[in-house]
Amino acid sequence: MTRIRLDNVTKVFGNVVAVDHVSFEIEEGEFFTIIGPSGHGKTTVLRIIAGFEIPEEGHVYFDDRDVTFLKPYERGTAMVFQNYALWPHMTVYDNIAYGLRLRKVPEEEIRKKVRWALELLDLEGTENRYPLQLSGGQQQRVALARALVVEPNVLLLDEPLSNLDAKLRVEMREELKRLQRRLGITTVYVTHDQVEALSMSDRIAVIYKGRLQQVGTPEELYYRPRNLFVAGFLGRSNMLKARVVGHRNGYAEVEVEGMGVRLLAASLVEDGDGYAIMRPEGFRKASPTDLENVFEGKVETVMFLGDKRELKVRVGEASLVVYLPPEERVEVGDRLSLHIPPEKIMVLPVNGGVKA
Amino acid sequence: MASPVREPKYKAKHLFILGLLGALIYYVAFLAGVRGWLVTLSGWLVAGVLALLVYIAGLDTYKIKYSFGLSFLVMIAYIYDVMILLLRLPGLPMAVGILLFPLVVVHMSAYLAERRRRTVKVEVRIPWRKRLRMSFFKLDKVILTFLIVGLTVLIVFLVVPVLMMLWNAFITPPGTPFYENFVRIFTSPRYVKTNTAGDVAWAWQIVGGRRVLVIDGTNYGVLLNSLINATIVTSVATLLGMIVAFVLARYKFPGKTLIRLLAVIPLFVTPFINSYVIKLLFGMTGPISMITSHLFGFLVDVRGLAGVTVAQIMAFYPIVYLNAYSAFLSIDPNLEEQAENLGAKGLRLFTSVTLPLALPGIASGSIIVFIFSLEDLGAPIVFQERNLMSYQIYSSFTSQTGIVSPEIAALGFVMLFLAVASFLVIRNYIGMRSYAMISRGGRWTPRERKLGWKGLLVVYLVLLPLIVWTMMPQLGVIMLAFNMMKPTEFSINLHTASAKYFLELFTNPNIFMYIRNTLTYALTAVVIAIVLALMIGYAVSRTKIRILTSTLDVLATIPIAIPGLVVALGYFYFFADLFSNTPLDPTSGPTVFQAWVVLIIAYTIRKLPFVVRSIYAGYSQVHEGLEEAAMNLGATRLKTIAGIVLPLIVTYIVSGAVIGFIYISTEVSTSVTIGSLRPDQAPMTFYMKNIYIGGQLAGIQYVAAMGVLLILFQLAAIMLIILGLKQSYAFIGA
Ligand SMILES: Nc1ncnc2c1ncn2[C@@H]1O[C@H](COP(=O)(O)OP(=O)(O)OP(=O)(O)O)[C@@H](O)[C@H]1O
Ligand SMILES: [Mg+2]
Repeated sequence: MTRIRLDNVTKVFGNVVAVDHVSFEIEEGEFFTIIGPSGHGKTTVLRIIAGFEIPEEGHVYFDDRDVTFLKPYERGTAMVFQNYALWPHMTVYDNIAYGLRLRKVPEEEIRKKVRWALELLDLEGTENRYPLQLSGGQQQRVALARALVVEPNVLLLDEPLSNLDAKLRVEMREELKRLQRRLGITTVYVTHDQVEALSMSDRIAVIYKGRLQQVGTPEELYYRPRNLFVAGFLGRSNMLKARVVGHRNGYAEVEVEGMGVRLLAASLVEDGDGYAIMRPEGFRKASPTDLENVFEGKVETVMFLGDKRELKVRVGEASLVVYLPPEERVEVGDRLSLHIPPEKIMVLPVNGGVKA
Repeated sequence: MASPVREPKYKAKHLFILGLLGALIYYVAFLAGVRGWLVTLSGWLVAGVLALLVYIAGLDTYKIKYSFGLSFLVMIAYIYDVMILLLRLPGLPMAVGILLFPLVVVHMSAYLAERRRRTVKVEVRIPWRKRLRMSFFKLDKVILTFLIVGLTVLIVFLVVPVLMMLWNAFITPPGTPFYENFVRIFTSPRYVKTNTAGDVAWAWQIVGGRRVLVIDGTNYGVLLNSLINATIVTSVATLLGMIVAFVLARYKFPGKTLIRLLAVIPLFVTPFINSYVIKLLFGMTGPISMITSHLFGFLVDVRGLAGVTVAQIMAFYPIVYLNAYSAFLSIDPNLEEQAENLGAKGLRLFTSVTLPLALPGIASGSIIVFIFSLEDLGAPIVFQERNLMSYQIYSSFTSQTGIVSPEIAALGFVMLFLAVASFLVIRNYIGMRSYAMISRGGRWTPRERKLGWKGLLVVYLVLLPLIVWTMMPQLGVIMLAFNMMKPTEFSINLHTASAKYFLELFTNPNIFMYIRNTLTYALTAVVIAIVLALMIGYAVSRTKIRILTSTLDVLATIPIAIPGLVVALGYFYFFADLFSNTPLDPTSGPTVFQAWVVLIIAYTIRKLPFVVRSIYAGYSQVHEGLEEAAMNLGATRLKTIAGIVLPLIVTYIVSGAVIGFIYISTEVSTSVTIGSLRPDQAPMTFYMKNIYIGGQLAGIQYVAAMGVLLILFQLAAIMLIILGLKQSYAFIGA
């Protein structure tokens, strides 16, 4: 299996900088996800790894070998395209067998491998059909089978689930992850769906305006976002202007604008202004033992979501989104005393950290 | 909500006011006897500078760009003003030139401004060496080969011959300026005759004791004749084609299917012989004379320039009809329904929504008609009208000396300029508004409605006779071929019917020779054209080096706009100058010259655009992702093309080949010029041309039979494309 390294890669289209000095390393067998808003360079990074685009600057390495200028057909990657790119004039069988035939694998062997792939992806019985005679989900699995059957060193997936309906998407997500773990292929996965990214990845890279914002495990990104963009992009959060006024017990003491209280918080800001980030699930009803970070609010709306209750709570002039366990009975208009532990408040620099 | 776009203050009518002002200044001074270049110049300056100021102050240039009438006028204005400045015709013609000048100034300014806006400044500075390296890296060996082969072939066999013609146009007798030939073309009365006193357009004559109304048109000199004729033919053909297309595309009436089938018949090309039949139709024995003699007691004979004009209108209007028909059909009905919803109907709906949306399609047909009319030889030769540019160029090839004079080269250049300039103006206009053709996927059933009784009357009393009239030439050709009609008069004698002439085509070796030549050349040229088109199309659609690919693209499509006679002239000089004393030298004599080589090359290049168009369409159906998927799995470029791309576009290749074959087998211009230099290697159309040489009418049935053979080719092609490939028959269009 292959280790992939991007070193300071820049790609320019006309006057658009699609990828701007991006560097990261993907370990052997890792499930690595690239996430970011639409049009911010995810596909381009993938196409650079596959060899369809040559970066204006920087290099791409597979296991320390510089492959920047290698032709796509010399790289041994297998890509599943956003729109599947199945060849409409070939049957499912021929589509899957194509890569093996190029490798001059004996026909007997090919038959065995295609069977294996068909079985693996639950496609038996479709081998003599043409792509246009398949459902969207089936087409997607054929594209995946076509990529897997050549036993690639690197699997590149460009939003492969985006065209599927919600139920199928959840199923395929699990199936993909299981497959990848079983085959141990280094996988680069592009998506703009944060649930997909968080649930499937070993590590995630967040891209914004062609620049790499942060790389890390899902937990790191979720709980320790390096900047406001990452914090806002993954999960929901309350983002409020705040001011660091002192330090106590290893935490920063902050005044959150509008809330009228002082809170202890983990902070990337030494002094002065920043933004306080509070995840809705970080709050709970205050108990008498809570001494710090307790404040009063008035419930404005309540929504029952099955696994939780989502409230809007007015605290001073600020309005916070708060999740409480479903068994907590609260009504609109109730006064509520809330607590959030200091390590669950992040203070991030106002603009610092967002690379744009 | 307030629109951020500034409301334009001035409209097109203001431009005409300015033009009028300039023209008046000039013309009043002219009438008052104040002449000289200063007066002329001030007229032009007043019109031009004021127009520029109005443009800067805010002018509704969109109106000019998006209105068909105005765009057309702009095209005419460009041509007219260039001509006027070259000819320096004083008086009224000059005043009209000044009147049109503001349109030219504004159109040019808007065009330049648009280009400026489009080239956005690049914010990111990548060293150009690196950019170049990146670009070339993307070209693997295969694409690079395609690019180089395509460019080389087109430069050697298209650009160089045209340049050689231009070079020869500047060869002048010693002691005269180098542009002497052009001066002659623009000033000598042979080419430009403004004093036409005594030359009447029609007159009464007594022929064989009967009164005959002879209509032959006024001779304004070779250059002006060609221009006037092309303008009339284009305007009338556009109007006719548009109306027929609209009725057939939008209305339902009994017998519509039949009428639609009949309307296709005039599309069959039968060079020369159809003009011959038209001459009969409009002659003293034709149906028109029959009617007038019964009603008014005189006969009608349309001859000369007038004959050329009617013959061309009948032959070319279907081109507009076909383009307009598909343009009307491709309009999303929602757009019209939306307008109706807002209260537009009838003529209002047509002029405000339908026509503007269909105009690009119609215009692309019109421009082809304009160019075809300029370069057409069929009608001028049959009507023996020598005072046309095309005839002049043609006859220089058949002169005794076998040497084409430099003056003719200059004439060829003028023709090239007229055709290409108008083509580019129209293409620019179509390109800028091709949005109209963009539809949001999905198919729709075209809007069709029932006609009321008034409409039905119009259809059956006007449209049907019109269509029947325009298919008469083809009908006449068939009747001639099977001896159901006398060669000298329009009459039907079914009892003399015989297939002997048609059969003799294949049994008489002296005639079959021409058929064999045509078939051999056409097949060879088609194969070469397909290979070239595959390479060029691939290189253009898959590389992103703008200068190279757009050059290639333009070179591969511009032959549509280059008159065949210009190609013939170019090839004459190309082979005469570069291959002198070899068998490829056209002046080496009718037993040595190897015309077949020159003809095959000329056919390939001339008809390449039609093949390229079909293949482009194929490539654009193949998503690049399909190729990337193959390369990603390890297929090299060639394997990808062979295994993925070609199988997917095979129907487009076949239809490109079929269309190319049809165009080549009916080609006239180079066939009758280059062919005349080696008659035994000449193709069918050369033989067909000979029907009217010297007025001898023997063998006319053989020529008609050849016409029938060509009709059969075309019929087979249409069947193959429509039934076999399930494509619409893309007969013609820019
Ligand atoms: N071939 C190209 N030519 C010009 N610009 C391009 C090209 N490919 C991408 N771009 C531009 O580069 C930027 C990044 O595009 P990219 O396809 O990588 O975005 P993305 O993050 O994958 O978006 P999406 O989520 O919508 O797929 C965009 O602004 C896009 O317009
Ligand atoms: Mg993408």
